[in-house]
Parts: sequence; C-alpha cells; structure tokens
Amino acid sequence: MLIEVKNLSKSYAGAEILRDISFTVAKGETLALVGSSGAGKSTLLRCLNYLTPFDGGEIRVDGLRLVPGLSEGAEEVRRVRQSLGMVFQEFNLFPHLSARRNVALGPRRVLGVSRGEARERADKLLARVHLAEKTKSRPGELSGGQKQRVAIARALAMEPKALLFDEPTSALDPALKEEVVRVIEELRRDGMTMVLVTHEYELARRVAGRAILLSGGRIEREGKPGEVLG
Amino acid sequence: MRPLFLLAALLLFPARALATGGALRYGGDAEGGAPYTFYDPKDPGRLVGFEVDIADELGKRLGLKPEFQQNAWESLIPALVRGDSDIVINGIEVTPEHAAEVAFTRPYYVFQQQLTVRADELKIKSFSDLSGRRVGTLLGSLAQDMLGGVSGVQVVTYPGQMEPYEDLATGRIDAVLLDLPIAAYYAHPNPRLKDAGPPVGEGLYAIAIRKEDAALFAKVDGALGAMIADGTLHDILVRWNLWTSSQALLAEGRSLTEKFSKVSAIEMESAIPGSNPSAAEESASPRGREKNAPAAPERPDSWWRYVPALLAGAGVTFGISVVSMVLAIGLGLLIALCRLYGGNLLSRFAIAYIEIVRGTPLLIQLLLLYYGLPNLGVRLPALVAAVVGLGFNYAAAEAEIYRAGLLAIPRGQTDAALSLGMTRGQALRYVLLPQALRTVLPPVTNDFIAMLKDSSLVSVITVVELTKAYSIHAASTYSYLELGLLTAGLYLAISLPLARLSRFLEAKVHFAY
Repeated sequence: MLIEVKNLSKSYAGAEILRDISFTVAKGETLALVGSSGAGKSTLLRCLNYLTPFDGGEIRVDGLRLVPGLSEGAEEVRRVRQSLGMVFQEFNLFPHLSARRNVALGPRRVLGVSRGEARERADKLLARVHLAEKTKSRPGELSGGQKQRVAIARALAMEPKALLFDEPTSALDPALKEEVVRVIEELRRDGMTMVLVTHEYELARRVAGRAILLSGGRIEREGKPGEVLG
Repeated sequence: MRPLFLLAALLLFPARALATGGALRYGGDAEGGAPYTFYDPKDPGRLVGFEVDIADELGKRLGLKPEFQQNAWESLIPALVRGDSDIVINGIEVTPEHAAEVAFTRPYYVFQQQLTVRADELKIKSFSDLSGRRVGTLLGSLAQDMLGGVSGVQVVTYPGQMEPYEDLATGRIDAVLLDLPIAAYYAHPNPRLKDAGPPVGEGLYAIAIRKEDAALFAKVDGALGAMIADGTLHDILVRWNLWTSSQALLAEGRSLTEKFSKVSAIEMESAIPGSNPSAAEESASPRGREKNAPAAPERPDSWWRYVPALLAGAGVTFGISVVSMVLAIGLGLLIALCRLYGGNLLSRFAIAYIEIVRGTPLLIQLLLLYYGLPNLGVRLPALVAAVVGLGFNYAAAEAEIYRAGLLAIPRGQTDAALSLGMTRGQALRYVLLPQALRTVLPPVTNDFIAMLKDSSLVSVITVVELTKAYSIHAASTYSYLELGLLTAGLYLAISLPLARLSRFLEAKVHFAY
C-alpha cells in the first residue's frame, strides 16, 4: 500500500473533526473523498501531508511514518510532502513568478537540481498539461483552468509518488473545469496514484476507482463510486 | 473706532505694546547654561545667573519688570530683530557681524577664550598645537570663528556648553575652546580636564537692542553705565566669581563697543596660531590689537558662498539616511520575523522592542546613545551613534510594515510552498518575502523620506548635516530666506528622485494573484 491511514483522529477547539479514520490507497489507484461541506474531507487530505497536524493514529506514506506531535521541520514531514504533490482549490500559484518558474521552484530549491534542468523539467511538464505556449506568463495572465493546470505541473515537478487534489475544479466555470478534468484523467491513465477531495459527485464517478463518503468526521461508506454515491 | 485702532496696534506691534506696558523682555537661552542664565540646579523653577542679576538690576533702575524670553541661543538675534524680546543679554559677543544687525550698549563683561584639554594631555599646550585635532566649541560663538581661522583644525560644534567638556573628558574630541566664564564654571571643577596655557584674546559681551529702539537703547545703556560707575556690576561679577583684571576695561564704556563693532574678532586673533607666538600677550591690550588688524571689516559674504557647505551637509544627510535605512531594513526584517515566527520568547522580545523604541522620542534615544552610554563605558563616535540611533529607531517602524506585508499574503501561499517540501525559511525566502516586497515598497519609501528629514535631529550629537549646516550659516549671515529655500531645495533634490525610483520599482514588481 502506498498510503495507509490508521485510526486517525483530529480535534480543533474542542470539536472533533475526524474520528477513527482508517483506509489505504494502493499504488496506481484513484480514491475520491466525498461528503458534504464540513464532513472533514479537506482536513483529512491536509493531514496526509501534515499541512494539518493530527492528534491520534498514524499515517504511513511509502514507508515513512507520520504520528502526532511532529515538528514542522521534521525530516519525515518534509519527505512525505515531497512524495505527495498537492493541488489546491484556489490554485495558490506564486503570483510573482512565471508559469515556468512556478513549476521549476520546487525542483530547484528543494531537490537542488540545476537551473537548466529545473527549467527543462518545467517546460516538459507544462507541455504535458497542454500549456507549452504559456511558460512565460504570470499567473495573473492565465485563466482559472490554465492556472490549475500549472498547479498540477508544479506538483508533478517534484516527481511525487501520489497527488492530492483538494476540490480542484470547484473554483472553475463549467467550460474551464473540463480542461482540468481531462488532465486528471490523463494522469490516471498514466498510472498516477491520486487522492481527490470533491463535493462534485459527477467528478468522483468519472475519475475515481473507489470512493469514501465522510460524514461528521467519520467514514460512512466505502466502495465503488457508483455504490457509495448512490 | 479708537478701541479698534488700539487693538490693531496691539496685534501689529506686540513688542512695543508690551514694552510700554511696564515689562523689560530680555531674550536668552537658559539651555546655554551657567553662569550666564540658567535654571538653578537646586531649585529648577528659579532662573539664575549673572545676566539675570544684571537684568533684574536694569529693571529696578528703569522701573520695568524684567521678563525672561526663552529662545535658542543661535536664534536670539533674529528673534530680537523680529520683536520677540526688547533686549538680549546672553553672552552675545560684540562682532561686526552682530553689530550689523543690532545695536550694542556698552559692554557688561570682558571675556577671554580658554583652551581646555584632558588632564593627561601632553602635546597640546597652546593654539599652535591644534592642527589636525578635533576641537569642540559652542555653535555660533566667537571661539568657533577663531577656530575656523586656524588651518587644519577640525571644529566640532555643540548646541550647549556642557557637552563639549563631556566629550573632551570621554576622548571624543582633543580640546575645547570657549569663553573663560564657561571654562571657569564647567571645566575648572573637573579633575579630568586642565587649561592649556593662559586665556587668550579678548571679547565683549554687551546688551543687544533693535537699532530703531533709540529711546530704549539710551535708557538701558545709561543704566548700565551707572551700574558700572557705582560698582553694582562689579559686585554682581564678584558674586559669580567672574571678576578678572580685564574687567577694568569696562570703564572705557561705549568706545570699547565701537572698537569691537568695527574689527572682526577673527582678524584680531588671526595672529595667534602660528606667525606670532607672543600674540596672546600682545592682544591683552585692545589698542595693540587694533594696530595689527587689517583695514576695513566686511559684511559676511554673499549667501551663495555657502552653497558648498550646504552641499556637504546634504551629502552627510544622504549618507547617514542611506546607511541608517539599510540598518533599519535589516534589523526591522529580523524583528518582524521574530515576532511572526520566533516562538513565544522571541516574539515577546520583538514586541517589547517595537513598543519601547516606537514609544520614546528619537531625540532622547540619540542623547542616551551619545551622552548616556559613555557612563557605561561605551563611547560611540558621533556618526556611529547617529546611524545606530536612526537605524534602531526606524527598525521598529520597518518591523511593523514587514509584519503587515507578510500577514497580507494569502495563507494558501504558505501551504503551497510547504506542500512542495520547502522549509519555513525557504518558503519565506522564495515565496513570501518577494511578494511582501511589493506591498511594503510604498511605506518603506515613505519612511526613507521621513528619515531624511528626521536625520536633522542628529545635529544634537555634533553631526553637521544639512539642517545644521543651514542653521549655522543662516545664523552667521542672517540669510534665512535664501539659504532656507536652498536647503529645502536640497532636501527635495534627494527625496523626489527616491519617490520616483520607488514608483518605478513598484511598477516593476507588480503582479496579480
């Protein structure tokens, strides 16, 4: 198993947000985390790369073990983050950098690859998300769908073991959604492992092989998207 | 109609209206200190000094109530001319420059200049040993003019008369040249200081009155003459331990004032430094001095001759501001980071720093750094103290600007940076700070321009920057208008290009989310 979550729990300000969550994600699998807003699905996703620390249980990612109480700078935390690329609802592109430098920044500064190699990698990935002609554009000059595809390229640039998507299409117009969904489908075909948080059941049915329905911070149902989502 | 006219007269001529109202308003600077006019250290509410005694006595004889008018010493004459006071009695030396502006009564004191050095000083024995040395004196004094005439001397001017002796004792300067009464009061009781040779030169203190106030002049001059004749002035001077044999010259009265009004003191003393070693003795007699003096005294030079001095001051202002701002930006960033990410202890320290520095006046901070720290064994040179004072002060403001700039960046930026596996430091350096740069650029530019102007405060610790250069030269030439406009122009010449550069950079780092 690439990702194993065991008895995970998380409280915030006295309220229990996640309760006794356990599941696994196999290599090459696409898992959708669905549920109404406030169900805890985004929090759960952020626990996977420790952007949000948790209080109980543990998470294993490709042999690395995350437990409660790790510090921000802990070696395991940084290595898990490097092996799990993340894509956000609001894109969170770096507005002061071109698309190319957005994608190249991680390899250059975190992995320490040379400037030329980072740039080459960025151009290749931008071509893969069909943005070869936008390498020099700043995020402010791109449409929402283009921004999200740059964000996917940025996550891929770290050569992650899996990608985490947090509502990747929710901030997009229907027309722009399609270009992002198509890229996600292509990634799935290429064998990328993905965990996808969404409240859009149609997206979950279309790209996920398996779905987990969260409700009130607990797993309510788990199985094929068609069965889980009804 | 009549009351209205009176009211108008009162508004237009407040000076005269008050003078005839039974008061004798005499201008002075109590900050100038003992033994002239100062607040009694034992009873800080009470104004004392030998000049206060003279003013009281004059008031008694003229049937007017003496009223003290405080003003900065270097502004006393312009203030008198514009009517802030009726007379000035405050160690105003009779010089052709002063005599061109105001009328002088007969002198009330004959002073000499005393050179003071540290008790362990071996090399400086007289004026002729001053070349290459830093010599302190009072701003706008006769001693400053005398030192200006000695080649190779680095003159350091102070607004007060105690500070030069403090700096001499702590070793920041090598000697002090000031009027003997000042040396007698401040230097002689200090065991760390000693006289370098006997007092030299002679000068007169006289009462300054507006040239057009002929009636008042006659009354005051007459009363002073009577005080000299009946020994009242003698008694006052003896009481203040100021009576010297030179005071016998006071009997010469008005003719003595006339003489000193014509011949510039610099010219009188120009023989002292090198050419004539016995000049000090010779000059003991004013008659001998007049014989040596060059022909006609001139009005101070045209104001445009002071342009190089103002440019030099502008250079100092610019240099200090740039170095201080670099310090403020570096330190401010460090403090902002401590406050935001430094954990409990560091962030408390950062908050304390900001509150303390921001909540106390820059002037006090500068005085503490320069005059206060030597008591703890830390002796900063003036320029270093100026840069540290300005830099540390502005660091507090910068820190708050950076904190606001960093907090304004959406939280998702940090998430994105950390999700790539960056450390906090890398996220700051590559993602957050470059974005904060855009938002902080306008307020930082604003602060830099504010600092440019605040840097004029460092003149209290002997640094001669643009504003100080202006006040020195404006005070000596009374060209307040021309030099003032020029000085303002120089400040603008520095700040306007800066504002432009800032706008250019702003456009350059512009981006949208």
